[in-house]
Amino acid sequence: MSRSVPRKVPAWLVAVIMAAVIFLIFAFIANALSAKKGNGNTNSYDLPDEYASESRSLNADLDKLSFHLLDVGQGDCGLLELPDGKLILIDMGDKDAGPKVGNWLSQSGLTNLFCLVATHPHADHIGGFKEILKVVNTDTAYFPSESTGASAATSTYKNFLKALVKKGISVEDACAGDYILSNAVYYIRILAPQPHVYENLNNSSIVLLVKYGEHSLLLTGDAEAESEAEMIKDYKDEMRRVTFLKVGHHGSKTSSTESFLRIVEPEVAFISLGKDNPYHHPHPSLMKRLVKWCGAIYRTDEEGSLTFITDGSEFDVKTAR
Amino acid sequence: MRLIVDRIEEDYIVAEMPDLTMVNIPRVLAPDAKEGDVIRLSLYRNSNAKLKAEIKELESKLRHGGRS
Repeated sequence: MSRSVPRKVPAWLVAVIMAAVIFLIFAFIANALSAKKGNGNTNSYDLPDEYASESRSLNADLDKLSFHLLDVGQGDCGLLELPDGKLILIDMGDKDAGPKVGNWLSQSGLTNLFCLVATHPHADHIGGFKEILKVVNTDTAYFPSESTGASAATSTYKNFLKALVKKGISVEDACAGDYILSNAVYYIRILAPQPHVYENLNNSSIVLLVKYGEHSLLLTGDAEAESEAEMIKDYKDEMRRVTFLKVGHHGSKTSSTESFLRIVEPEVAFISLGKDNPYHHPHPSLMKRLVKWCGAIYRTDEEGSLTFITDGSEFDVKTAR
Repeated sequence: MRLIVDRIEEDYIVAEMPDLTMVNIPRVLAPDAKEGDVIRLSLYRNSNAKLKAEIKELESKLRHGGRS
């Protein structure tokens, strides 16, 4: 009669099993804490979780480019997700937008930025910096080039600069003609400002042209007629018939001139503005021009946050409402 | 109170208050205001005594059938 003899388990195997069990316990606890943090958000920002998740999963394929124009009321805040996963935050809305955008970026895991672009130093474009800079990581912020003289004498701007210093973020000058990124798949070129002083700070806005496959996106900050005329002069062919336009200056009558739209002729236009704002945005004359020259127009005051997404061939628009 | 002009939007001066929130001021009140300018708000109590006296007189007249 044979008798089985208990085999002694090697000490190394016991150690490995114990380590695995401890790892699983820690992973479970970390996951539970993370989920709890996510559910704790009670703000009414209209970017639902599934919206963020969907955009991220599309980009996880590493072949999609998307531009989110966040609903920050009267102001501007856009997030560019590039096909290789790089993220660029373009403006940060006003002071009230900061906590909402910061929360959304944090909960969506969109915090490691390639760079930040501060198109120009008006408070409705940089005012949300405090809560946003708490959650994002980057080492570079693009400002309108020093030669434009673009600056502001507000405490908002001073505090923004102090926050950048504290985070160790350095400033790069943005000047027309330069590239922020350029590779075999896509490029991001700066079309404005030119290296001279502008009387109107809006015209010193950094304007970006993003080219990917068959499509191009024109992101204009608050650029007005003077800047548009300069772009037409220097980059007419490059910005002819873009697919997407982020309409300049929240739809004011002083932006998106007839001569500009005639060249750009976008298939899709997004406008960022606050509902019932007192500034006549979007101005009826501007809307008339957009209707004439644009394929489809979307507004954050009516449809909440907006996303333009493309694989370089097809494109789609998603709205939060 | 010091208000710093952040920008001009159509008919409004958008000015930064000390708590860094923004306030819209009708542009007609300071048509020459430019970005970075300071608008100072001051309170003067009892400094319009003449106007108050005139109003008082008018009220009195109205209440007493035109007799002051």
